[in-house]
Amino acid sequence: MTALETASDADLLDASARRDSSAFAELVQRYYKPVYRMVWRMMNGNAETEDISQEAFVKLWQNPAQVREAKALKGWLMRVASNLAIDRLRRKPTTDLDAIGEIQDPSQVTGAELDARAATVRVDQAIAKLPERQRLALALVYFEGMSNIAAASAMEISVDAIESLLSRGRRALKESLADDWRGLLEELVSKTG
Amino acid sequence: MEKFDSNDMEKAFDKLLRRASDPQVPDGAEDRLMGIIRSTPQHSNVVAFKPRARLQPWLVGLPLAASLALGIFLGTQGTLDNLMPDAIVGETLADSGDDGLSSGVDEAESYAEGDVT
Repeated sequence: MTALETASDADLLDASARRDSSAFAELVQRYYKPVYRMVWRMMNGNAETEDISQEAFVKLWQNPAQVREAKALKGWLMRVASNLAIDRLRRKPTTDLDAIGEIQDPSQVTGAELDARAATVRVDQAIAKLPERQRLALALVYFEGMSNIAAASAMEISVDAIESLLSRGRRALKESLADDWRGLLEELVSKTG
Repeated sequence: MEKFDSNDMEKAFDKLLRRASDPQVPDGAEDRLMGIIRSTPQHSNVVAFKPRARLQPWLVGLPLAASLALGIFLGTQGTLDNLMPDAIVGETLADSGDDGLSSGVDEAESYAEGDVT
């Protein structure tokens, strides 16, 4: 392990503030993937995902001192990236599923039977239909494994509010997947015993 | 659905959520980002101090001098006398004669002689 790999986020931020690009590269190594995944989820797989993820890191590089608590760096990056994604969505909405290139139509994947790939596509489509804040809450908590507290902090809302968003998101997903629900549920339960 | 209880359904739903895509970062994305970073200057944390422009002293004096000149001009022309209180223009004094007025000399003399109690 190199010194950079063992350095804390705070040390890496300090070094980045002194224009140490290798320290910043370590921060990129740590947080680029989760930021990219969250933005992908927010943008429904839109091609602008990489551009938005990059922009969040460029903002950090331009002024690392703006992160007041180094411990909350991941949350800071998630907040900046999600705000950029929401701004982009509001300027050019891509929630219309017909416009989503990356999420394929399940009929093109399989025939009548729901296989794992089709289930993935249907779940992605159902998530894509959620309002952006419910989608963000799901992305942070379910897909990035952040605690409710950390996700609430990243979204600058209360823990109660994020629990409410998650609950509404789950309910909406269940309703959205209602047509496929029985098949998916039986398939999943039969496979998991 | 009848054969599943709500707990089963919640567990199955969590499994269903895990079926969602796991987006992969495109090859070379981090290198492309670092390329951008290396060519991006950092913002300075030092805020440049810009001193406020100082007014020229003559510029401050100019309206005061103009006001003074106007006051003197209007005063000499007597244009504003009718706007002034009588006491200032002296009409009250002129009309009242000596009645009730004292120069103060008599009082001073009385005081010096010990007449005033």
